[in-house]
Amino acid sequence: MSTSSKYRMKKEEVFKIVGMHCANCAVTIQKSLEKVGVKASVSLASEEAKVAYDPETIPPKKILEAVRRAGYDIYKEEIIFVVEGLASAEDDSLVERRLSTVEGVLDVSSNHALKTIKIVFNPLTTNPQELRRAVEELGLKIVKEQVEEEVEDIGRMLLERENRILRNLLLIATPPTAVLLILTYIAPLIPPLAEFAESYFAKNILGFILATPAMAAGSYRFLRTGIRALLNLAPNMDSLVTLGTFSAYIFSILVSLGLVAGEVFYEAGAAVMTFILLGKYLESRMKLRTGEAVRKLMELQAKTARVIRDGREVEVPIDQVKVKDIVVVRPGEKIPVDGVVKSGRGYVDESMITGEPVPVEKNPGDPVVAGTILTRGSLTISVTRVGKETVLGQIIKLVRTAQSSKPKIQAMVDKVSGYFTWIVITIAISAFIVWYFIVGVPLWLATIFAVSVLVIACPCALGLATPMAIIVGFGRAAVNGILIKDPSVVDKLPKINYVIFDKTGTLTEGKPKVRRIAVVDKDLDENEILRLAASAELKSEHPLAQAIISEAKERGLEVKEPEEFDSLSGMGVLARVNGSYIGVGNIKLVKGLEAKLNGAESIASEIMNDGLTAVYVVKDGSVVAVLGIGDDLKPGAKEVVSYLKSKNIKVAILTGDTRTTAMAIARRLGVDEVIAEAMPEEKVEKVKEVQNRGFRVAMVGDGINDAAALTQADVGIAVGSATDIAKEAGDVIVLRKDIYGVIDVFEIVNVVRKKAMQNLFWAFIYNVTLIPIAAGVLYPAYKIILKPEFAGLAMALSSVSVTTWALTLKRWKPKRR
Amino acid sequence: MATDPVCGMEVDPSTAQFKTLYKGKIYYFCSSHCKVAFEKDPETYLREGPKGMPEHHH
Repeated sequence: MSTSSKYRMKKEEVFKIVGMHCANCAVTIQKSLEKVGVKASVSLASEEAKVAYDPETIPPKKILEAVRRAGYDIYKEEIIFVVEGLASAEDDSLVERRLSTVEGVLDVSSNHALKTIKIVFNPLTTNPQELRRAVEELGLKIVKEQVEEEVEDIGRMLLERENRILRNLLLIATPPTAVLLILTYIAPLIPPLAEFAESYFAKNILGFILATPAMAAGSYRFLRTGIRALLNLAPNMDSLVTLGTFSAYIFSILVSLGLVAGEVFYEAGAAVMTFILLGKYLESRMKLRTGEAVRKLMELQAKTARVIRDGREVEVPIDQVKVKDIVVVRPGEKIPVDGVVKSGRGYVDESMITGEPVPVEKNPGDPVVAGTILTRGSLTISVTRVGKETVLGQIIKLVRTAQSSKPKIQAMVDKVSGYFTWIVITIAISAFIVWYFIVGVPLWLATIFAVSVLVIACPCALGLATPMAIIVGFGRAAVNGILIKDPSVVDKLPKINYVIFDKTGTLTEGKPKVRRIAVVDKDLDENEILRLAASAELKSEHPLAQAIISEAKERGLEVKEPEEFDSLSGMGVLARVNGSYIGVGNIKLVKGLEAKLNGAESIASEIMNDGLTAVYVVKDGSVVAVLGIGDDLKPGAKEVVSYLKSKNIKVAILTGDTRTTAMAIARRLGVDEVIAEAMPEEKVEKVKEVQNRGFRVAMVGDGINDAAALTQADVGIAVGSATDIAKEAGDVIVLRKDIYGVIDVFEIVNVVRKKAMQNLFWAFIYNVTLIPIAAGVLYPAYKIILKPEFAGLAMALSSVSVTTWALTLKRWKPKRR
Repeated sequence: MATDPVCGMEVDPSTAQFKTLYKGKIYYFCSSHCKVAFEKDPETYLREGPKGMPEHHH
């Protein structure tokens, strides 16, 4: 490791800030940065922050967090290196430690299971070339570099190659080792062979000849990586295996040559190598299976599409389809792109994306997504997104990213296992010293104890425990329409004790309808009021406006463009229709206009007590009507609330509605608390308030409109549409429209966490009980020696079992309702 | 162009995101902080004119 100039000292760095729009922002960011001890000057004009800090004391991650806390973000880029030579969790922690000191690096996440190193960096300070050099300086070979794409394929290719190599090595090692084991353990029991088996020739010469192929095969896999890690002063499992087996092997050679007195045990080194190769082989086979979820998603992508070119239908490879092309899809075919139906009609099976089992009817104007299947009918589609921009592409990218980052528990384990190998080496040396020099057992026996300790210790089971559970579990969740973006939900979700639901569109269908029209000014009739209100709302995109407009259209009323229009968020709209000054909105709008109420208040409170939203219609300074607008609850909303309450989680509804309306709905659902009359921009504050009361909050809402609140919450769960995943906030995205997905999020995360913890627990127990036995603590009392070959078998089985246990997660299914 | 009654900045009514209604008149703001400050005490701002950026807390 060199310490060239790019390793930073006290320094100045420029960050590009995203989301600044007024001078106030600059001050906010500056203050937030100063709070973490960073001197900063933020410029609105260039949208840049010049930051002076000491990276020794303030990691750049802190700066990123501070900017985010202020509600903005740093512009950063991401690169993924697929590398050869990442063997273990210890390597991961070493790589992360070293690379995070490289200038401009904001975050590093290394994953030996996927063979990837993900680096988030500040493109103003460093570039991919420099990062590439830094990675190579660590002795890793970069197979491929990418800005996210096809990682799965490359990772898989590497895994397949490793699998093949291990199989070949096993074929070399196994036959001679088997003969050697028969010669050592079985032959002495058969009288005609016993004498031969005990001979110098059999024990020494044949032993050496039979053991050597296995040692050579094992060395090919473990020696180089093991020694390199040792030289990096970060020994890993390969180092332990190398040290253990070669101690046994070399000791035996020295005995055979008569240089040291004692007994040979060639079988130990050979058997350990063979068993560990077998363990690695089984593990790599299972790792190949863990990536299935993403591969399944990738297989949903059609390879070709039928495109209209020059008025004719031509079949072209999928990567030649461009946005705005017209694609023709026939029944039974996969829809190859994201787009909008241009003509035709049909039923589309979207279950692979949304989990929704019933095919959805598609008419002109409806959106369709790639990977879904047209079951009936025929469609021509105008292409809006292709390739990795499609919803499917975004899902694949997201699942991969989540699978390759790791939660806190694992980061901790990685750190521990870094020390673990040192501890094991120390124990092995101490065992040797104590047995040979203090107790005075023969040299060969002392060597066996030391070798067994080195061989049985299995840091890799610790290192595999969580990543395996996450890769399998998150993959399984994705296939069922649940995208876990941030793996730290595994740490956070189980601690959540307060869930806030955004009402509209989350607990309710989000399709409000006009249920009641209470006329206050008897000079006007219902239809006249609707016509005025709908015309005033014509340019508004608010769901309540849509309800009024569609009611007016259903009644066949003539809705006109307003002459003037203004909308006030959290209040309503003001417009001029046919020369009259019309206001449509809540009580705040009425008060702001200082309009005459004409007794409308008591009508409104009656409407609200029924759980409807009261919308006032004001004409030229006086209230003329109150509309009652209601939205159906989603099926399952009640079950989700009672599920959460059964887990001792408090549940609240967050809404812009009045308290009375919200309470009426809360009563129907059994919700504990109501956070009402929240303006859209206040949602973040409301979440903060609950957090300040000491709760750990999960927010369930719309990934786009509630983005800030989802980010503020400890865990943000975005529920809803599979339209544009990249733009959605939230740590978890539920693609299914039904609200039951929220239960599944809690369930799958719990299962993943449980598996990870069980794995860690067993790996820990395994090491804590077997290492002392290997070191010989049971020898004085019971004469128990754990021979290295059995130690090797135990160790191979332990890492295999960790992977197997994680794979049982594949059976997880969302509750069918 | 309208004037933010709190900080005195010019705001374009056609693009402004932060507005409120007071005594039948629409007021436009540069930020939610100004809007919140105004809504707390509209009379003072209308009587005494803009006072500059309000101090806000996070």
